[in-house]
Amino acid sequence: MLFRVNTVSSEPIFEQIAHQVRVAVSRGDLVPGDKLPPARQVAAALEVNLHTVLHAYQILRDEGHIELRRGRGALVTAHSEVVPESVLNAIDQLVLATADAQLPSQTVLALVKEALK
Amino acid sequence: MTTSRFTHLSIRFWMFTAVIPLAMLSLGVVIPFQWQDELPALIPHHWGPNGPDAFGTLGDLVWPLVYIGGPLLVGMTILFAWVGKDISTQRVGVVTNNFLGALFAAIPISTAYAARGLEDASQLDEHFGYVALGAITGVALGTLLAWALPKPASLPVQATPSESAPRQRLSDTESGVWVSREISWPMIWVGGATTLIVAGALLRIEAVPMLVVPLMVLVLIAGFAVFDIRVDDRGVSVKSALKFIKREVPLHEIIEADTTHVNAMKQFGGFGLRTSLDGTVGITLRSGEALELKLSQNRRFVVTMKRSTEAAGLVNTLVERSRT
Repeated sequence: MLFRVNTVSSEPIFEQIAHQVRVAVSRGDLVPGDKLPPARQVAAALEVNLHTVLHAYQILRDEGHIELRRGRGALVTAHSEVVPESVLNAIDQLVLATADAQLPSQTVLALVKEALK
Repeated sequence: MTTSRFTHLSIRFWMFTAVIPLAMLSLGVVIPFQWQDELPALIPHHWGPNGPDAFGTLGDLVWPLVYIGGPLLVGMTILFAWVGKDISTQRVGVVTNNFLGALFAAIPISTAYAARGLEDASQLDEHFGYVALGAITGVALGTLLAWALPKPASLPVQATPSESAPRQRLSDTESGVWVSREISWPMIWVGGATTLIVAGALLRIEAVPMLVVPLMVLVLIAGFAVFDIRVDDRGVSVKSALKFIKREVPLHEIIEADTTHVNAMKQFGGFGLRTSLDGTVGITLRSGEALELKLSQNRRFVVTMKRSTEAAGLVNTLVERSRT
C-alpha cells in the first residue's frame, strides 16, 4: 500500500498515515479482509517511530476500519464503507475543475462542506 | 546479438564457471589413474541396497563421467553466460558448476581411494560420505568464488521514465513509500502438505534423523513464500521473510517501472528467485500481475505483486524526482 507523508505539514504523521488508509478503504483499494503492512515495516519505510504507526493503526481500529489481532496483524473490517464509483468520479471532476479554475482548495472545501450540510 | 550477449561477462566468470569445474573434473581422471597399480582389476560402478552390484575397469567408471560431466559443464556455462545479464544469475552458475565439477570428480576419486589395496572389489566399504563431502566442498568453493565475481560498474541512468509510464501524484514536500507483504498461499499449502506427508512416511519407517530434510524444506518454503516489498527514495527492495533472499535495486539504476503479467511456469519455470531465458531476473510467487523494472545495462527485474500499477507509478515519480 502507498503511504504519502508530508513532513512539513502541521498534520501529525500518525494522522496522515491513518488518513491514507481511510482513503484507500473509501476508494475500495483496500477491501474487507485485506491486511495492512506490518507496523514495523511501515515505520522502517517511512523512517518514523514504530509507535507513530501503531498510534495510527489504533485510531483506525477505534474508528472501526481495521481489526488488530495478535499474530494476524491489521485486517480491514467488513464494516468499512466503500464510496460508490459515481461519487469518486464526481470528486475527480471537481478536483480537475478546481485546478482549471485555479481556485484555492480551502474555498472549494468550504463550498462542499456547505453543500453537504 | 550473440556477441553483445557475452561481452559484459568478466574473465573471472569464465574462470569460475568453466575452467575451475573442468579442472576438478580432470582431477577425477588424473588422480584415480595415479592409483591404478594399487587397484583390483575390477572396481564397483554401482551400489545396490546390499553393497556393490556392478563392476568394471577403472576406465569404465571414469570415462562415462567425463563424457557426461564435460559436455554438461560446457553446456551449463553457455546457458549461464546466455542468461547471465545479472550478477545474481552468474553467481548461481558459478555455484552450480563447481558443485557439478566436484561431484563428478568425487565419485571416481572416492571409489578409487576406497578400493586401493583391495584384492576383491566386492569387499569395498560404502563411501558415499566422501562423495557427499566432495559435493559439499564444491558448493562451498562455488559460494566463495561467486562472491569474488566482480560487481558490474554501476552506471547511473540519466533519462527519465517515458510519458506513458504510470505516475503517482506527490507534492514537492511529500515523500512516498510503498510497502506490501506478498504471500504465496499455494506454495505454503502444497509445500506444507507435501512436507507433512514425507515426514509422516519417514516416521513410519522410523528414519527419525532423516526428518531434518523435510524440516529444512519447510524452512525453505517459509523463506520463499513470503516477501516484503518496499519502494522509497532509495529504490526498490524485495526481501524474503527469512531475509535469505534479498534484492535491492537502487533508484539510479532504474530506467522505468511498469506493470506486467507474468506466467511463472512458462517464463521462469517455477516459483521463487528465478532467471528467464531472456535474462530477466524474477521473484515469482504466482502467475499474474507483477511490477516490472527496466534497468541500466539492458537488465530487467520483475516481482509478482498486487496493485503493481500503484507501485510502478511511485517508482517512476521518485525516479523522475531524483533526476530533476
